[in-house]
Amino acid sequence: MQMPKDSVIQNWQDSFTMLYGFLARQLVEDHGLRGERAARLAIKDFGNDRGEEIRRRHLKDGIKINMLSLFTLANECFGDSRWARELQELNPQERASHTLSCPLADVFKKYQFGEIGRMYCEEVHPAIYNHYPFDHGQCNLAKTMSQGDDYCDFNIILRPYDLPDDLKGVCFEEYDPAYEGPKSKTYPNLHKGGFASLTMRLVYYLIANASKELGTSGIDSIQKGMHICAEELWKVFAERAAESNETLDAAYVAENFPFGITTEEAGMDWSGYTDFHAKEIIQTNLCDLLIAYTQN
Amino acid sequence: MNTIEELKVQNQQDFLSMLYISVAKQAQTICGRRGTECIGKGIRNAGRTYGEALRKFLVEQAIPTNFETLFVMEPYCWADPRMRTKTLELTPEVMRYEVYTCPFADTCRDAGAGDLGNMFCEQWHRGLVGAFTQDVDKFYLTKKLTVHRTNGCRPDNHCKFSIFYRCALTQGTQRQESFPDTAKVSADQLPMRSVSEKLHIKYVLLLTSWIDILKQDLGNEGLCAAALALRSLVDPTAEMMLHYADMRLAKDIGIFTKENLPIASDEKALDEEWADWGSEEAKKIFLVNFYRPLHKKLGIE
Repeated sequence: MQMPKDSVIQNWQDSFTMLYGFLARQLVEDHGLRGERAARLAIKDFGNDRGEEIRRRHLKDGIKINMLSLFTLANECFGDSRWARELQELNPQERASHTLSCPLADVFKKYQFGEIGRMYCEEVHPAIYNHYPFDHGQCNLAKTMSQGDDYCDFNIILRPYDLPDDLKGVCFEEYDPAYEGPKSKTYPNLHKGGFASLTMRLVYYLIANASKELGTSGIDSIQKGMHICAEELWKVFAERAAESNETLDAAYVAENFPFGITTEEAGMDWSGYTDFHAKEIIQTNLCDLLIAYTQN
Repeated sequence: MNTIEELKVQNQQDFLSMLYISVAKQAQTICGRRGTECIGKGIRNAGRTYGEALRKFLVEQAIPTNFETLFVMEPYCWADPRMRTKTLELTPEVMRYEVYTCPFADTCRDAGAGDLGNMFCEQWHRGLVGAFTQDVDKFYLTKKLTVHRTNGCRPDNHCKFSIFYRCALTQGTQRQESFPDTAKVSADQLPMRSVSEKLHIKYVLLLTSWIDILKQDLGNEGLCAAALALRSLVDPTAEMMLHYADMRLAKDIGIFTKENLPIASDEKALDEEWADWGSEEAKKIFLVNFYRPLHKKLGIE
């Protein structure tokens, strides 16, 4: 599969981040503590979903559920060249690393998301990294750029003594004397499909929790946030299209926006994520808006 | 130069460190991986017991159960002058701080027990804060002075804590208890325990937790590990007491030991000390294998 261009990957990543930022901010601005609760629960659900998906895949392939597997064999969409990391330690029980440059933190700073950005980092990482090993992980993230530190300081841990006996062999080879190794060990980057799937899940959980916690006024806030996001995203696309001498048209949006121009895009599997009219809300308030901009 | 009062806290803290290393090493030596697991679980359980007790105590006093109360009442170890810490942010929802020097970390590293020290740091605080916040917290500890690197990387040169307890994630009674609309409670209104009292509680809690789990998971072998650990602690503890008593020109070793170890001075007081936080079986093992032999060694009636 041909690698997409750097600029395309960056547009996918920034679309994801901006969607989170503008939707979460609108929820908090409109609903205060209740909006914050909806946003935090949404991030947690999203993180748990992601951790569970990775775990499911690894179990199917006979891969041990531990830190080495999580950080070498997860199908992450990190083809974004703006990430810079420094790895200190990686073994089945522990991963210690510093993130020195992060595109999400850059977007949080650009749009002054402040506490909204901090909230994302605070909630999503334990949701993924603790949930992946059956809720027995210890995600430590004491420094984040989103809270004003110079770098993000990660120490993700899974200790055998934190696991019940029946899970030790599932997680660590040394507790499984008959283990013969994994059935599969490579996970190709899914590129747009991967980003689209992540963005779909994030937005779905924001819609779902806004609806559950706040009812129709929560959905109103989500839609308002989407309109603002679409407007800002359009500016970003315009700037980047101009830089690369491309025409900002429906084809550009189709390639650079995770949902493309239609939520019916081939390859997108919405099953499990259509409650709360999520698909329709995204189509009407994001995809259709972006297409309308191309026609103006 | 440290004051005489500070030396008492230092000695009490050092005893706790020695107790932990002794029990953890014996459990590891005698019972292997399973012994280490019991110690780890024991630390977490003890932390949780303490955190839960603290939370209930504050609720009974109608004092908010958030970080502005927890981190003023605890941690006890900050009274040790060898601890150097800096609080970066303290609000009802957020506590961020760094530790630059820590006597517990020093003792662990000097004893070649960095990995055991690491385990303690990973489990105790997480257990305490988790129980205090009824598991709504996000507890982050990325850098640790006890860290035990195996790949040639330098060990960490400070501890970095970031702990979050978000009002938005609480509901109902918990929210009212932790984040009430009433005026803040000032530090002088908090029912503080003395540092010594906290250390007394901690050693009883930890020892009880270890002995209970060692027995539960490993039976007699686990109990033997605990007993041997306590026996092996008698001589170094006696040596420490005699050394510091001599340095301090203390005339009465009994009084000196009472002030410099976080342990009751006689068996009647010990019964009271263990009544709230300990178990009968653990107390008996402690009495027979450490307390009485230590008193005999020091010539204390």
